[in-house]
Amino acid sequence: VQGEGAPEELVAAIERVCRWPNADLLIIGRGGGAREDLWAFNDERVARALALCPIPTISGVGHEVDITICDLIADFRAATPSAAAEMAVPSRRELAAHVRSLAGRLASGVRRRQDRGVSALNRVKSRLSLGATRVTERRRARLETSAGRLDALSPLATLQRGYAVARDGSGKTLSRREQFRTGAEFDLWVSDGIVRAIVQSVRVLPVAVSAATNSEPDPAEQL
Amino acid sequence: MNFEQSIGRLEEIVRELDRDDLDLDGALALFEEGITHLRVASAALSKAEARVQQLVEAADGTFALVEFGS
Repeated sequence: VQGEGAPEELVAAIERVCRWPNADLLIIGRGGGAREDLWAFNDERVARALALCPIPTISGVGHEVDITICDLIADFRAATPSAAAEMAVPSRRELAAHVRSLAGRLASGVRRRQDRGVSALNRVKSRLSLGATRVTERRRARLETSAGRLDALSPLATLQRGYAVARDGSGKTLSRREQFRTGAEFDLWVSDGIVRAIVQSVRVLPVAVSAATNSEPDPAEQL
Repeated sequence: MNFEQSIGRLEEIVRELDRDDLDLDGALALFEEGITHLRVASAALSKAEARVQQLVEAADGTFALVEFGS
C-alpha cells in the first residue's frame, strides 16, 4: 500500500471488511518501510473510515517507532502487523493447556458423580434384598404357626388312640347302624391308612355300653 | 387361590377345629381342607422364596433379572 491511490484502496478495503457479516476483527497494517510509504495511514479519509468501523480494530503499521493517525484511532495499537496478529488470537499453547485443564475437571467431575451413584446404588441394593427377604420370612413364620396348630388339632390323633372312622364311597361318615347294609362295601379310616371292608352283619351295642354312651337308646333293642 | 387367601382360610379352619362341639366327621373334613390349603400356601411361599433368592443373587452380581421358572 503505497503511492497515489493508496488511501482510496485502504478506504475501500476497510468498507469491504465492515460490510462482510462474518468479520470479527479488522487489522489494518503494513510492513516496515520508508516514512513516506506509510503516509496513506495518516490520510483523513482512511482515519474516518476506520473510526466508523463497527467491529474492533487493531492497527499495526510499520515498525515500533512508526506512529500513524490510524494507530491513534484503532481500538488497539500493535507495534507491528505480526504483533497485531498475536494480539488478536490466544496462543496455541495457552489454548492446549486450557483444554487439558477442562478435560481433567470433566473426568474428575464424572468420577465423583459416578462414585456417589455407586454408593447410593449399593445402599438401595442391600435395603432391597433385606426387604424382600423379610417379606417371605414373615409369611413363612405365619404359615408355620398355622401348620403347627393344625397338627396339634388333628382329628387323626384320635385315630392314633385306636379309634376308626367308617366312610362310604362318597366320603360320608357312617356313624349309625342303619347306614350299614349287609354285603355293602365301606372304608375304614385308621391312623395310618384306609381299609376297604364289607359289612358281614349288623347288631346293637351291648346294653351296658349303649346305656353309658347313647343318650337315647332304642327301647326295642333293650332286653 | 393365592397365598393370602389360602393362609386366611387355613387360619379360619384352625380356629374352627379348636371348638369343642365339632364332631369327628366335621373335624376330619375341616382337617382335610386345612391340609390342602397348607400345601397350596407352602408351595406358593417356596416359589416366592426361590424368586427372591434369585433376584438377590442377581443384584449382587450382574443386576440381571431372571424370570423364575424360565
